[in-house]
Amino acid sequence: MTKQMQFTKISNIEECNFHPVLQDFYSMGISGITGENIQNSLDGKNRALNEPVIVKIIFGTMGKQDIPAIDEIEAHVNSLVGQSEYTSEQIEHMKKALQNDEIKYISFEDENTKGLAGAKNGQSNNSVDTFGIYAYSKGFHAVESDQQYESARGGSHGIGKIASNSASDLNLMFFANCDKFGNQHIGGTIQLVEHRSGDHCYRATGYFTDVEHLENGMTRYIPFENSYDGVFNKNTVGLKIVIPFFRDEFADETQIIKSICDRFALALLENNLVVYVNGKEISKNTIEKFINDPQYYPQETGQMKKEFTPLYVQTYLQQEPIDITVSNSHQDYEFKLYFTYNEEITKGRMAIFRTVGMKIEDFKVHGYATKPFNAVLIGGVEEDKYLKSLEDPSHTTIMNSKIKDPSLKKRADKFIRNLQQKLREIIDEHMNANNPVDGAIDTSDILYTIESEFMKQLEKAMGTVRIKSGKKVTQTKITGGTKKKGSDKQTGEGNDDEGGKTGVGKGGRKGTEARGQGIGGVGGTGKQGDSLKRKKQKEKATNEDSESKEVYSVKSNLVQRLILGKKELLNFHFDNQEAVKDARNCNISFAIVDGMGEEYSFDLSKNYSEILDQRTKKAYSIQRSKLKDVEVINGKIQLEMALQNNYNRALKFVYYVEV
Amino acid sequence: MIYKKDANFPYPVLSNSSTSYPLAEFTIDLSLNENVDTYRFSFTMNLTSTFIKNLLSAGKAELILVVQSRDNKFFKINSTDSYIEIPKTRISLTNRTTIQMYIQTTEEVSFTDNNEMDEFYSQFKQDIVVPKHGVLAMSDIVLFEGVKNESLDLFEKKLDPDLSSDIKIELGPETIIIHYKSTDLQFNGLQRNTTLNNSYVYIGLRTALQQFIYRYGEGEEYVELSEVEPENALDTKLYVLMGKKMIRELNIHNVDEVIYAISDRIIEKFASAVKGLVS
Repeated sequence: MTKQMQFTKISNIEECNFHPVLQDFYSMGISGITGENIQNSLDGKNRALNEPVIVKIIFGTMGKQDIPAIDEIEAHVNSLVGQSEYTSEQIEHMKKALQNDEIKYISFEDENTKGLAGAKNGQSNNSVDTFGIYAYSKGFHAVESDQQYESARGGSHGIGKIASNSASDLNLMFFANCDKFGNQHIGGTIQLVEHRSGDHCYRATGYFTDVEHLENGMTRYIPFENSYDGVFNKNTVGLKIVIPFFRDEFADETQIIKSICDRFALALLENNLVVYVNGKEISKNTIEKFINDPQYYPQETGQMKKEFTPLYVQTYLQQEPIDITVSNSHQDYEFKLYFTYNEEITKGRMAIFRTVGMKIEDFKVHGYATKPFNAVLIGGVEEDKYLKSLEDPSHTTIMNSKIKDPSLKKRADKFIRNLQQKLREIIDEHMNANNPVDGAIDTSDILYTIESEFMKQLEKAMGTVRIKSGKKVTQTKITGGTKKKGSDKQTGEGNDDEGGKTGVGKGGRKGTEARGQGIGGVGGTGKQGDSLKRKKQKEKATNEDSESKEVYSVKSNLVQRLILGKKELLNFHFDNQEAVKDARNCNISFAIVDGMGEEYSFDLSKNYSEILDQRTKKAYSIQRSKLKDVEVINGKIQLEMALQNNYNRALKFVYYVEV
Repeated sequence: MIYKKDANFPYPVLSNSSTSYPLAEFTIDLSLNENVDTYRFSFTMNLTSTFIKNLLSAGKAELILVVQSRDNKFFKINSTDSYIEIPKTRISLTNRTTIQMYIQTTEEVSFTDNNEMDEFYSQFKQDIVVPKHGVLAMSDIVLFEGVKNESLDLFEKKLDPDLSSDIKIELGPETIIIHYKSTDLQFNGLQRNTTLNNSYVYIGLRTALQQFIYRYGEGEEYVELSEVEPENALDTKLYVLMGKKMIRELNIHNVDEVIYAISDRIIEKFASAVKGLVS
């Protein structure tokens, strides 16, 4: 059978390590690969269309057997031998990953892009044949024939595509391409170490490709036409990258979405880019939704110490750009600067964006890293070109000290210094404007006097207050001249609300307990209790004989209570109380009250040995907490109670009357 | 022990909801001062019962202030005092706090001489005995409605590049003016830069208070605040501030204690701002 996975034969093994850039990208995590692939898609934008580049990112699972050339891949991986502790560990990890039949994958599919060109030419080493370059070379950056567009493009180092390999447990990736003529091809690479398999030694890199044997004994790689379905299929113009054996530790949707917002905020906002992550749309319409979601980003300005994307977006959307010129002493570069000054900001950063909308760096201004500002810097084509020359391979900083040419290096340093200086001036200007050097010093947090306010709580409640009316529980003030605590809003000094409510809440609760033990239908202080409490009252009431009675709380101005030796006198004056004065008899409930206004049940039979009417000497039967059928004469009740020995003389009471 | 409810005691009690004492009254008015450590409640008491007043002066009864926030706190008051100072650590004042005063017996008290009760109780007055620690009277309830901070415009700053020192404190007629030689010294642009200037504010206060002693001490090293008549607006502000913060005397040895008491944690806030910059 012809081989599908091509490893070049070598005579012996020299290099025993994995490609070093794999580790670089691996350590950048999912952000690195997401950034690289989206950048490549932006670079591949079909400029004939006036549409944003669309990238669809999906991660899922697939059967191992559906992976192209999996048997050959397995054979090579299983033949690997680690020569150092580090490579051994990686190789073991690879072999272990192969043991699963169901494996994870991630795919990046772009649309409104050109796709790779010249697939049919295979390995041509011609810069026009981007397919060949993408498929078969490392470190070769295909230069756009359009210089202006080339300047704006993100990539330049030509190694970004290896980022995809780093996201696979096997360092394996495939790409399916469809060009503008509808030609569909598939390729792939695997990054191993140099190894011996069978009788031969092989190079580290394997290519999923067909081979053409040339007349002079040389060979040339020619891509397979894509006949795969499903995950590996790409039938619209553009590129689709599929990474099987997707690393578990990379499968973090939140992190992917964040890295897109972080890196491509402007591309999204300018509608150059729309990304779907497992169906979730990230676009100019939705970016703010993610940025304002605490699940993705800290929401308090003061807490934005490592991630500044929400600030950049605000700055870009809310500020008018100012023009700044930065020279490298050879040429002037013109940028637009969006600048926010806000003293809540704890770390001052400036995002440097390419015109394509990709962020290069959270630029720090030397000595101003904790100044309260946020800024966004964007140049034009010339500026892009220059910035690109300053970038490191992963496009994450322009502070690149690796420029070899001494004169260029000098200019680069000069440029950075001038940029920093320009920003310092702008920051100082805003700081001075926001912190006038002359004038009053605000010391209101440390030097102040207080003005306190007190309100009198009206406590003139008198009379009786109905708290339950038969089955219908209501509370009304029933006597003209009497007033209940809490009802004194009518007096124009409704200041008692707070205290009153507190009292009721507590009193009401205890009142419920009390009822449970037999004080039928009483509770609270008669102020507006909550409806639940009233319901309970009602339910309780239907179980008691007081069903048809109305219950009133009795204010202390109607009561005279006195303990004299072994007896207690208790008088009620209802002669001015419309509701009671004409009654012939009523029931009286007793409840103990403490200093907090909480009520407790009280068992009459355990405390009084005899209860008589002072006037008629008629004795009442003593049952639990309620005295029944008490005679009302001329609106008055006058009781004389003989105390048992255990009676606690310190107790205070509240009373309820049922009529 | 705040009797929000109408509790019925087993003997007559003077309160605003009871008619046991038909003519007598017991009400209080409160005001509050504070400094960094202490609340001071000043009160005026309106107690019209001669019987109970006599018990108080005879020491047979005592005044208790009750402050109720989450729980009740009780503070005994000497009957001759017009205020009580309570450490801020002991009570918390919120706008739900209620305050009441009551009078309780310090020993068993007979009501034989009590001629202020209503008819019913009066007929038994020879037989009425209130036990030790029994409540005789309860005032109306006062609800604390919170505080408003009033800031004082005490300080100004000026940038003066020609200054022959880095900073200079000038005592103006209305304000303490801090002159800075450069904006760097104002910490502009740093987080909480206003608080970072607390160190200068402290020096400014110290300078102003020292002049205060010099100006009103009449050659002595101390000033009794009650005897001061401030001569300009700045001194008036300091005088009012110290008065509200319950400072009685200012002398050359207690200037730092006075600054601590009249301000709200100047140095502590400064230190926390510095720590914030470091972290």
